[in-house]
Amino acid sequence: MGNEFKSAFDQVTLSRSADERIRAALEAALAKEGKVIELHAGGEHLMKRKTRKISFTTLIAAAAVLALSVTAYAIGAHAGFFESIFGDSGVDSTEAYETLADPDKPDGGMITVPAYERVSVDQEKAEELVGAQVTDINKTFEMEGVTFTAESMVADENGIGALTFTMSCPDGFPRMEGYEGEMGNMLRIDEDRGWISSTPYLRLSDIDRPINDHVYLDSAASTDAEKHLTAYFYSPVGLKKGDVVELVMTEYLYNGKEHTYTDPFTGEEHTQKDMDEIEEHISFQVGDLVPAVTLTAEDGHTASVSPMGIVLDDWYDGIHDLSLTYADGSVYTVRGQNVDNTQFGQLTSPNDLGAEGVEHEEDDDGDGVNESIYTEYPLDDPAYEGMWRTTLVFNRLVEPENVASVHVSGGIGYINRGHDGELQPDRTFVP
Amino acid sequence: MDVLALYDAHKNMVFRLALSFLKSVPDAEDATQQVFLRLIEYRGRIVPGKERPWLAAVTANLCRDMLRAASRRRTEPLTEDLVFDTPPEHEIFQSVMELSAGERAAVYLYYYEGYSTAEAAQILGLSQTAVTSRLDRARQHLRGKLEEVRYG
Repeated sequence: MGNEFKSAFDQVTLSRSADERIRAALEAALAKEGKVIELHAGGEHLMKRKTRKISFTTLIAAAAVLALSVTAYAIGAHAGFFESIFGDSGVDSTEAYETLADPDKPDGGMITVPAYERVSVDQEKAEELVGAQVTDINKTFEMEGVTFTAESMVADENGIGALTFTMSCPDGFPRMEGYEGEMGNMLRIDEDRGWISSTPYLRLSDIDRPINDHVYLDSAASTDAEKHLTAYFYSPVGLKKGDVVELVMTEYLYNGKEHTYTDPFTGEEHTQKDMDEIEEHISFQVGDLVPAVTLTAEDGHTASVSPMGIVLDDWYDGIHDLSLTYADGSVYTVRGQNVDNTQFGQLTSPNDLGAEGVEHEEDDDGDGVNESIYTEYPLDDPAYEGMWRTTLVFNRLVEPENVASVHVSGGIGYINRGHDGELQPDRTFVP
Repeated sequence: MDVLALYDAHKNMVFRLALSFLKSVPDAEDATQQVFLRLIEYRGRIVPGKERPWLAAVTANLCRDMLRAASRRRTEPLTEDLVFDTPPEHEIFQSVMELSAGERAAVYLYYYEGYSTAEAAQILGLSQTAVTSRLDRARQHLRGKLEEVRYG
């Protein structure tokens, strides 16, 4: 059976015609990097997309941001919290740099790796903008000898927020037993930015729904025995005062029993340890929400800017450039060809917001995909106006009232069947 | 990083994973092309030697986007054109295609590509528990069917 399963999938290969078509598209793209690429134009399965435009202005703008001076500030009650979520001491900045794309070839081509810039936080300004909405939690639980402590959180009215927490274990962190006997670590750290993908995670208690989050390690404050972490999060369904959010840790522990089963794919007998699911969590209530300011483009679309992030309505694909211009003319380049100054970005679909398309089937495994039956959300259907939206979480504090304009440009490719084509929105939002 | 060499080395992995999600050969071909165009764009940020899991993760993300994409109408499975050497192989493939999209992807990565549940979880952007749960469900769904194929 195992051989048949393997050999069945061995026979699933790209057809020669598709192979030739894709290869031709790749060769064309390599020859014309930075220019328009027209993808496969065969039949009704048409998709178009543009490559990013190369722009050096974004680097210049970023340099201007770095040049902003920070005045002396008073250390307030939330100084450490603001430093963690907005400041530059815990997460390193990385300058844009060029690297050889193909080191094995003399003409391998140079490419630019985008810069990521953390800047100092103005503590007085942070206190003024979000201080009143900070909720101090200071609750703990323990699992496998590790003490989890939720410290403080703040969230805005768009559902963007940040939580600081620690994980401490005086004797060093244990490796925790995973399912099926595999060993897993509690922390898997992205070496580039200290981004951690794994448990623990955040959950909206009332609807038992995970909240999208990216957890960053504060490398300056952390030690071998204590990790200081910041979870930047975004709840597509929004947050309101009084919502209960949970910091959750799940572990699977061997209960001393075993069972055998026949793997239907391989026909082999396996003995599997029975694992009990153990969950611990800290619950805390969302407090007052940080207000956001709405800016509007000529075509009526809106950008909602808070000190923590931005939500663009009616935007459902790539952003090439997004910048905030302040009243004094200085610029915060949020995202550009050579700059990515976000903690993370999130595309929200109508499905995330509970809308039902033409056909609908339950998302039974919670991955946001309706299994088996596709759901239709026509671009031009007013019922879904504004439901496709993009959220970017800033990597610094923004003063919304001081934002004179937001400029965003990008490419939106969409798929076929009477709606195929591409859009190249270029919008400027003003208060 | 030689994009075309990577394409030759990994194109069928990307295509099979895309097909596992999308259950449509034309859509999987579109996805394959899209994934390798993204490789061109982002190749400078990929750790050498990690191209295969990177491509798998991009494929998974792209396919989820496609499943959720605007203007997408309901489509019937478009895998009938695939030809297999033996009837059991065809039946096995079709049985796997009857699983949910998430289960198909987990089965493909775990059983065919040989990734561990932890690695598959990282590729699919899920917890290890979720992947294990999908594999368990897939085994349960297919146990009877595959036994039938196995013993006639």
